[in-house]
Amino acid sequence: MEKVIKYINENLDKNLTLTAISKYAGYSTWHFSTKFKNKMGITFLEYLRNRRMQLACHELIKGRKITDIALEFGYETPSGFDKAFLKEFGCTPTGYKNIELFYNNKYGEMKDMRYKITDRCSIIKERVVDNNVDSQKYMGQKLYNYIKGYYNLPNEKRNNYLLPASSLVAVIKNFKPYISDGELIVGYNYSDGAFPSDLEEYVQMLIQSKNNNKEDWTKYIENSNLKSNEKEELTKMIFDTSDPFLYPYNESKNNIILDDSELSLINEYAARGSCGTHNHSILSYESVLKYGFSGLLDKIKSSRNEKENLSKDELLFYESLEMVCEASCNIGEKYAKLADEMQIEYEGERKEELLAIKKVCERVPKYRARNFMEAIQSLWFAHIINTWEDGINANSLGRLDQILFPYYKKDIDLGILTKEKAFELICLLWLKLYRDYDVQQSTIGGCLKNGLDGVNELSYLMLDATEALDFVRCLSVRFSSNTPKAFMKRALEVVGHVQKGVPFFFCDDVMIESLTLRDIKIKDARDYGVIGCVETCIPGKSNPHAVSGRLNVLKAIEYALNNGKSMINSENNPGVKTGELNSLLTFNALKDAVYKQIKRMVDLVCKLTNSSILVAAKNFPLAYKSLLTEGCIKKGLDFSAGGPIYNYYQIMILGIPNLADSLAAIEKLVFIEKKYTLEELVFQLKNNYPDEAIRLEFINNAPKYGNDFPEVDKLAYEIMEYTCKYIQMIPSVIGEGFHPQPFTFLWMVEHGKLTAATPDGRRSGDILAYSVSPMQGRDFNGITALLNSLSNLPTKLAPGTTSAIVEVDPYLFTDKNLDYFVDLLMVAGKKGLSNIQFNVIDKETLIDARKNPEKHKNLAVRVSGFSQKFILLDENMQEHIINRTKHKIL
Amino acid sequence: MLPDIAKVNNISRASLSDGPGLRTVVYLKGCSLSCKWCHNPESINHENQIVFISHNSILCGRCFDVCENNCHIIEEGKHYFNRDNCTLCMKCCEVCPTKALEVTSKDMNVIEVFNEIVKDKDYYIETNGGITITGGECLLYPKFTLSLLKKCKEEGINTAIESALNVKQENIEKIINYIDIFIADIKHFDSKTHKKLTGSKNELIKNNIKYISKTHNNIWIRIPLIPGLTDSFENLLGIGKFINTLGESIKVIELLKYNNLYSGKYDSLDMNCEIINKKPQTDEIMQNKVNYIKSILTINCIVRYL
Repeated sequence: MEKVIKYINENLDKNLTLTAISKYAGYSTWHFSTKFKNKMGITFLEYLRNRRMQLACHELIKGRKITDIALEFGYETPSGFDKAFLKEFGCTPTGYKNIELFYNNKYGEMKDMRYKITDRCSIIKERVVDNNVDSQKYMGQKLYNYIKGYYNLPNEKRNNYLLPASSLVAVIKNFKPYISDGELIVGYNYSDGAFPSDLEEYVQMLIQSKNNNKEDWTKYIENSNLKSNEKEELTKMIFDTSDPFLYPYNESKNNIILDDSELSLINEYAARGSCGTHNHSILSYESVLKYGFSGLLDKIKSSRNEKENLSKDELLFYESLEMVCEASCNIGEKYAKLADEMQIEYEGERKEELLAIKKVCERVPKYRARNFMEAIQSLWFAHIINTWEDGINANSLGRLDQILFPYYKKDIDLGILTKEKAFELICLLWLKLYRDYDVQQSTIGGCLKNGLDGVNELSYLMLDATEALDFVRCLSVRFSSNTPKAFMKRALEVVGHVQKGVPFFFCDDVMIESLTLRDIKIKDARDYGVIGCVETCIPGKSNPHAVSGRLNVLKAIEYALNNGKSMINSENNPGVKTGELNSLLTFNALKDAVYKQIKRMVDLVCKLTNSSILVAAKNFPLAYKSLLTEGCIKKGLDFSAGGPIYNYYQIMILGIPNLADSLAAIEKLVFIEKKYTLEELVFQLKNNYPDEAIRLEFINNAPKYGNDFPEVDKLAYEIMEYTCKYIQMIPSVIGEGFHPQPFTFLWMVEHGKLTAATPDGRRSGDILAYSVSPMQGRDFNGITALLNSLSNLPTKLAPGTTSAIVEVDPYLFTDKNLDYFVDLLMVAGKKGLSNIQFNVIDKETLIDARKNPEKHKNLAVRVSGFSQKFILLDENMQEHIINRTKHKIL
Repeated sequence: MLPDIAKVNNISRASLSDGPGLRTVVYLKGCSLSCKWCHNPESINHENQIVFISHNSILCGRCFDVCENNCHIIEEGKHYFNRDNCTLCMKCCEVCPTKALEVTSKDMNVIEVFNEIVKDKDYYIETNGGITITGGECLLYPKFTLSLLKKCKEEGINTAIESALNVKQENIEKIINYIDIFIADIKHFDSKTHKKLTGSKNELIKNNIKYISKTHNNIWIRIPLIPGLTDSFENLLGIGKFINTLGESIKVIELLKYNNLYSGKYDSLDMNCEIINKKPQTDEIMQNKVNYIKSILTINCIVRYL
């Protein structure tokens, strides 16, 4: 291409056509145009015109005749030259000449080259994203093998440890390998379509199937991609057996005793709790890369041999681990064999690739990985088995740039890997992770265990791959004041370009301190990784029990204003009797009542969680997770039963922003200005604001969280502080207690449905605020004010991350503003921001804003020196902006 | 001693388009020009006004109850506001729960304004931002502006003002030493046309710009490009040649793209806007203009459009 550009520049005065230049370059015109545009960022003709005009200016300034210049630069008529000149400068050559002077224009200033997605990846992307054909090939396979695994086990071995292990082994051994066109990383972890993929749910389904949904099962089996004899066998195993293979799970019922009031709290979604063991983890895939499964097998054996007087449980535990580890050793071999069979039918490049796959799979994951390619393949195999045991959902990969970097660097230093190839392999891994749903998160950036900055070349390549593929939904960036600004800028650029809210940002300074405050060693805290949405864990060392319990603190104001009774169902008494309204004489008395309600909710959440922790520990061992989590092998204790080094339980807190707004509104309008009595307010709440003017007054005439108003931000701080501290005080039956996590997931909708009207002007049944983001449309004081409100929260008390989404107009999120966003994040991080996600608003949002203006008060259209709120614009103008925004999207 | 008070239209945080870095922009009320295209009509008049946005009204009737002059009328389910009888008692704004009725500005003293400004200090430092005082015409309030600027300088905050400079030179003299960046507007090079478009001739403005170019070394010039009024090549040539005489203290020239988004503001104040429905320039045209003015300049400065 360099040669072609040189040629163009030497022949600017000739009649250069696209056909001629393509011929010179040795491509078809179409191919050349594409290649040129990709490389230069503008089309060939634009480039040609640019170059010619630039030179023409020099000639003009020398005083030469315009007609001569036009001819010299390949324009047959002066009018053609005039037109091109006009397009470039907005005035004609004559006009330009009359204005005396010329300037030096800098043409062709182009952005740094980024790697483009390769043809191989484009083809696979189409297959994966557009129709997901490959997943169909696996329908029924896992279920069939899984159930067969139960039956393979002789009666005397059917116990809680060996049954699931035997099933997993059967899946690993019998799952049919498949390599699709163009793949270099092989293996799939597709789930069985409509059926749940995690162990516990599987069993529940099987139990129910006997009675309830026989038709669904029959239909599913019919549609599966199994051979007809396998289908028959599967039907028989499910329906025609009296074999009590589900024996251990029948006893897994939770025997907790709850009173009516507690049941009401649960039914109104004020407090929920269970033990969230399943499908939220980051395992030590690193140990598979380092030692291979064969090396891990040795570790199991030596740990077992070191111990004396093993209990029956310990013996079974080690046996289950060995079974799974042995089977895992051999997953590669199946693919090596398939690649070998396939290569016979190919010639040339693909044959070489298949032979390379064969070589890699013969080695990993059984033995340690020696190079980048082996490392990625080994990691992917290790991940597949994890998702076979425990479902896909939020099982995450951890700090990929750190895990893979040693292999990458070694290969680059040896000259056996190029950056371009590494980029393609990362794209291929990202393609493996793509699904319509599920959140298999990866984490990049952040500090090393020694506290120094850990950003490396792979961190950048992973961002590049994310941008190039344009579909990745789960990527987290860790940052601190030590993170290079260039990396932050690139990460934010990807946010602006992709416009899907990736990557997310986590501030190390806050997160690490919050984890160490919970007695996690500093070196481990520095290694934290992100699971699923925004949950945190110590990779390969913890069972974080994400999404264990959750409570909606906004219900506390409902109960406090109604002496413990529900406002959505007058027969329910879920709360504490904190006194009739006439006893709440001061704002502090009201606050006390609210805290008493919160305390009771927390008590129940922890009680529920604690009781199911024991059930899980006894009945749902996870052999593979134990194999890849430090602590389990050494202790001889399962992942579910406290084996990992760290065991904690994350409790989600919903409704903090709404409760802060509610209390602030009461403080101002009831206690300070005395415009309304509590009785008058409660009448409005119970009847869902019959007087719209009063509702709007409670919205508009009281301070709202998210605007850097100290009087309400202080309340949000107090609520979060009280709730987090109290959660942290309660012990868990296994492990080190509960980790507060002010995060709502999507549940602000469901929980909102069961919450009566609240004093923040929210109607009954309306959605709650997302996590700790301000209530939709109520932050209007600019992004720095919002960041200040977020950073003022006691984020260090929430080791489970304090999540927030900030919506940004695409008009602001342009490349030229990126430096500001970098600075904004860096400053907010220093002030105490924990997690932030950017939502670059799209056209649909604006259309909704036109329909429901009160929800989008903060949506501003900014123009030079002047900005106007979207909802204040007249209809035609709104229409205009809606249409214009489409073009603004990069 | 009581602190200085001014009518503040708005304090806008995290602005990216009024000087370098992230800035807090303070809008003061009252102006000595009345440009036909003024995008902030609420800032022209020196007195408080009532902003009435009829589609925000829910007809709750609170304003009818408090108004002693029957200015608020409901006809056929629509809320009308008759300003003829209005005494600007502002009672209706006080009781309005929906923000259909609001006062254009708020009397604030220097301390109150400063307390808002200082909240973003960390961001100013990181982004080389600061505060920008604008208007209206902030130089019509030299005392308030001066004490706010002084306070910011004491706190180490970078200061800028944006002004059309249609003021007495002594107003500038008082404050010029406390300004880091002087943003000066030039609308039209021809005095007669200037008078037609803004209500005033431009000799005073030109003299003031000459004065600041001799006493200040970081001046940004802003030219609003209003289609058919100020965006001709002749005007740019005239302004460009004038800028050439000012020398190297001019650091940045910004051409402001026209936009139509302000017409709703005129409606909400019952003011008449003569310039409506002009077509905003495309980015391409703006780049043409930038290229053009660059070709005129003999001084070395940044030229760009916003």
